[in-house]
Amino acid sequence: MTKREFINKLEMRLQQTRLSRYEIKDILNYYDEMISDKMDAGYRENYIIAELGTIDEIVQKIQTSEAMQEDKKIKYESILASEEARNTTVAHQEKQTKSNTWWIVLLCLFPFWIGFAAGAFGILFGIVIALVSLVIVFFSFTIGGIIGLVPAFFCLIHDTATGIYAFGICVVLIGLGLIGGPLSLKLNKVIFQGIKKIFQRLRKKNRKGKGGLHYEN
Amino acid sequence: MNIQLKKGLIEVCVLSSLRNEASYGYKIVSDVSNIIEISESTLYPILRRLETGRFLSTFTQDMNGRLRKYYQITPQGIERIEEFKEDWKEMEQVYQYINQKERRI
Repeated sequence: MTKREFINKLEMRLQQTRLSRYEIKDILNYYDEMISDKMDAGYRENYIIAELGTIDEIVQKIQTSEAMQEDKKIKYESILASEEARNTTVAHQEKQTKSNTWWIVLLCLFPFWIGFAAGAFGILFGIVIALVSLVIVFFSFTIGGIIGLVPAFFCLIHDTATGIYAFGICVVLIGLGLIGGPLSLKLNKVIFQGIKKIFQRLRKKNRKGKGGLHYEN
Repeated sequence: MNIQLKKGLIEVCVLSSLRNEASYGYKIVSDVSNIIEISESTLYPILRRLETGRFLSTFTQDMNGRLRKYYQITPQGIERIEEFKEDWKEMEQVYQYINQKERRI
């Protein structure tokens, strides 16, 4: 058998297995390279291929190894999964106890913190409303300016001075809207992201404070 | 020799053959077969296993107009050899113990 024949047969046989295209290509490259190297070293093609053993033996060795690896992987994954499940249960129980304690403390101190909390919420809500309003205002400027261009155009026909005046106002409104709109949107984005980051940090701190995972003995 | 033990030994031999320089399939078989019996078809799954376990990394290089895959040992691979040497010391102790017991009988 020649090298080409051997590689073709091996490829056909490997395609009957569950091996991926990448794996098949890797195996074929390995044997192609191995045979070429041995031929360069002075061995005869026929002898090299006969020495490699039958195609079925080669495929079986690969499959056994793949199966072993798969088996190890499954075992390892199931061990990890069971450990994770155990850790989660322990951590969940600890978390539950700690969070219960926190809730009791918070309820007891209710008269002290409710005023501050309401104030903070009010300020935050005010900022959000102001920011949204700013976007709406600039958006209205642009829309108003564009719509205003129509009567301004008719005014320009009847009374040139008033028409130019109205036209100017519309252009100013559109300009303000086009400059202020994107700027206010950008400002909104920055401030909302800032608020989001503050909440994320608070959450992280809260998680860290609750401690790491512990194994059950 | 026990198949599993032999596989383990071949793995360490392959890693050791790469300790000083990167090498390719045919050269690895030639080097290792001087120490332990190994065929080309046995080497491939071992190389694959070592590569997936990140004990080896690979790269290809042009060699007389064809690509040749080279295998290079990683720090994890070196660590694996060291672990094997430690295990071997323990095995030697066990071996001595077994021998001592035999002599007393």
